[in-house]
Amino acid sequence: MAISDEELVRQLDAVPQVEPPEMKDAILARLRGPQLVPLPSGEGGAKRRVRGVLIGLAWAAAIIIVVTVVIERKPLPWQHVSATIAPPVDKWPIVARVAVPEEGKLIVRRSGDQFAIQPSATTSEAISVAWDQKKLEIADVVSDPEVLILQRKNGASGSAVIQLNVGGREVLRTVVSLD
Amino acid sequence: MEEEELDRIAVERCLQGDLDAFGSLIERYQRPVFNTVLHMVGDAEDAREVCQQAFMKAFEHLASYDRERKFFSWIYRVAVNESINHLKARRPHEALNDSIPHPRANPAEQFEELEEWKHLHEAIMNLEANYRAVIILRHFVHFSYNEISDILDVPEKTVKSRLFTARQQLREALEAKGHGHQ
Repeated sequence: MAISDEELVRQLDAVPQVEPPEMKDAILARLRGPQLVPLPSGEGGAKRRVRGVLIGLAWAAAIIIVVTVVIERKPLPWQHVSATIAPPVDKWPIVARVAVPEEGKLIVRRSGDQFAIQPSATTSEAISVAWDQKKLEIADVVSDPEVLILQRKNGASGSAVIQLNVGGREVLRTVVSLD
Repeated sequence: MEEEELDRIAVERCLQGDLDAFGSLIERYQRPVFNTVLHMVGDAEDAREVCQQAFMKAFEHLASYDRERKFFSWIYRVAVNESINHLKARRPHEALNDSIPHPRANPAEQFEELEEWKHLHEAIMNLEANYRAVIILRHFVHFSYNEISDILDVPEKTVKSRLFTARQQLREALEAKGHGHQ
């Protein structure tokens, strides 16, 4: 039994195109990233205003995925968040405080399944926060102080890495217990 | 306006931070790129993930993309390379998948057509990745030798040579399954 080249080509050319699953929104969402959130600006001192450009890093299976996106800064509804969280975020117990002289500082507070991440930098470069996105997801951002609220995902346990980047460089990281 | 010009404009807008412009590129190429990746990796879920990674990688490296070249050649190259990397990373026991999702919405029709070319799919999946790539690019997304040469970054004669060998291997595989003429 032999198959001719023409018959093979006919069979190959007859293979239909598959309709792809929806990907555009998923890709754009990943590029924008739920972790790519413009932190509100701080005032004075060593704090650096974040002017809409934020670098997001995602921790996944010990691999850091770096995504850089320019985000048009939009006003965020800070106030209602502050109003609904009691006690105020800055009164939550501190579970980690890490600082690198001349670089930056990260304070992590916890209330139940929520973690408040308060980053600051001593330089004028842009700052960003990265975390283990398999275990934590962004819940909101509040201002005064500038704080990113992360929520423990359902079923997540053990520990999670939180990292501070300044000017696109990792300057420090800490590990918080989720249990 | 020609697609090449539309691509060029979209790339420029992307580089100026317009993410929606990248959305238009995804819309234009997701179907052929997904088909290419799907036949390269042989699994729909893997194909979706590899395809998304390819588009994300393309976005991240857009600044280094040589705008003298056609965008579609570049995105295909990224997608084929991502597929090959995926295949290399996949454990040996995961190397083959008997079923590949079919385009038809109707499950009955899908099943019939799946049966019709199941052996062809198996034979393609047994090809070495470089041979598989030329078969897919030539016959499934219908690129010219020159375009395939550009996408795979190999001389045109290498494309023809690989295609010849790939077809020969496919023929032998199909004949071994009894799919030739009596």
